Amino acid sequence: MNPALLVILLFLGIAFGLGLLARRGRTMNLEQWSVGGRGFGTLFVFLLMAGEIYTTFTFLGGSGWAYGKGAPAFYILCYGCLAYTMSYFLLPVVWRYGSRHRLHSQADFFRSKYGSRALGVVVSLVGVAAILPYLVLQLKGLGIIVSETSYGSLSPAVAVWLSTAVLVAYVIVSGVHGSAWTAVVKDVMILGVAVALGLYLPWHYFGGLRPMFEAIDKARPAFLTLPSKGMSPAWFLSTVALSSMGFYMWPHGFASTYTARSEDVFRRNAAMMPLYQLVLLFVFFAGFAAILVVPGLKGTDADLSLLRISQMGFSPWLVGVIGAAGVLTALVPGSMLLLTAATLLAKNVYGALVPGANEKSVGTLAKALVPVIALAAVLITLRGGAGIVPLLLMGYSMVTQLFPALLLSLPETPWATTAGALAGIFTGEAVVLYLTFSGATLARLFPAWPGVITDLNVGIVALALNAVAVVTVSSMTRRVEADRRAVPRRA
Amino acid sequence: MGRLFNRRPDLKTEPSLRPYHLLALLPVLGIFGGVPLANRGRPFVLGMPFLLFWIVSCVLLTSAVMALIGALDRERSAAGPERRKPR
Repeated sequence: MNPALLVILLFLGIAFGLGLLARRGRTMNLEQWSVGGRGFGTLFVFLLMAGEIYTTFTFLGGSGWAYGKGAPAFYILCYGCLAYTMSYFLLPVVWRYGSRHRLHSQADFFRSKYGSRALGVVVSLVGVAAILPYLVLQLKGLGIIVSETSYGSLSPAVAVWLSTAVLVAYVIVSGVHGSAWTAVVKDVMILGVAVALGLYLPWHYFGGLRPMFEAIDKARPAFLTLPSKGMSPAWFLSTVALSSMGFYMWPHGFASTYTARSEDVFRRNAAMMPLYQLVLLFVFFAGFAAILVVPGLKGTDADLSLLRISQMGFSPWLVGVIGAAGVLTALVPGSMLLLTAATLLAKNVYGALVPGANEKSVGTLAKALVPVIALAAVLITLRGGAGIVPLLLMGYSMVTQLFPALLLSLPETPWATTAGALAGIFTGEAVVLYLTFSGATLARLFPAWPGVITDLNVGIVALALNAVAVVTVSSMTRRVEADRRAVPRRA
Repeated sequence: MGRLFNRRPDLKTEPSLRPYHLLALLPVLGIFGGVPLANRGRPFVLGMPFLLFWIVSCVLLTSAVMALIGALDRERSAAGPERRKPR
């Protein structure tokens, strides 16, 4: 067995042990399992939400974008900032309502705010449809990382099966407590690995940051600025805007809000998260260093740049540590995704459709669904081809469509009506599906329009039509809705 | 009418928006207003191309501004909603 594989398996073992231990001293009812008994302090909530930033997608994709696309990669740094600014005002409101009504999921929020079980079911199905490709992408990234960093001694398929087994076991046993404990190891690892690589590589190969960027500038002029066409500033800013609105709409991120002990947790995190996000800067540096050191990776192979440049310069032991960090960046978000999908299906689909369902049977069903969902994800991972990144982007666009209905539900009595929320969500999702499968872009739809408009991220269209639908239908149905809401209040 | 005025007494902090909350718009302006203007490779600052340096500054500004707003809000809720000094 080579040393790299040994290190990876060691860390997988540690994650497994911690994930199981996290249960200690707790009765695992639905409240503990899915939202940690609403008792997490700043650090755990911070780590759960940071799990959102450091997935395999950012580890491999962040360096891959810097390597293959250059400056457009910087958008990843920007959207987080806007999302955190928004979180300061948004999350305390969500948390306050969620703890007052003992909510467990994102769909719970919509169901309870709008007083509509149908809306809860729709939101759950959108969430699960978006989660599945995300989960598949984590597993796919994990398979790549393990097979690359173990120098091919463990095939991607074996790595995926092994890690999924670990994942399923600790999610069933410890729920979100398992995610939080393993997140501690993961974040220490990723922090160390990213900063070390991002500092070492530029200095080792170029003698510093500035010489590195000057060399890149010379070899690839205009690579370090946004182009005037295509991924132009218009594309950049519209993508930043869309991504920041979608940021907290992911069901697992939204539900991790409920784990907080108090709303002050979010106020503190809003200042800490942006700083922590700067770790991505070092991931970029590693990708940039790879441009001239390991040139020639084309298309999706750009995502391998970080691993390839590491293999070139480091001993197998160190490569193993990088691989282990990569595995953990898949496990932690993976566990949250699994847990959330299971909670949504059990509580907001089964619980809403079957009248006799109580919290105990919902909790049992949620745990039983974990291996089922995991198995589906593994099968798609092993069979699916390269088409998974477009699916993830579609998932991101899909959850973003929940934003208008959420925003308009925040006043004490929601401004939007149930019919309006449904109309907006259906319109938005239909446009997203059409755009994804037709591959339409604004440049293709309106070739004569100026670049400032045609470069805009096409997702803006879906969101705009969605917003129009919510507002129009809500204004038409407000009176009816007011009557309907008045009835149960009087009772 | 009763429901309109009867804010739940058990929730001590339901902070209303204050003028200093507008500070949160600074990083937004830095990105949406600044990125098109800062879209240049030179000069290099701290070893980074100018655009990247600008974006990193916006990230740091976000953190500072949110820390400041957080501190002001905490001070206000510690003083209690009633005992706030009239201005």
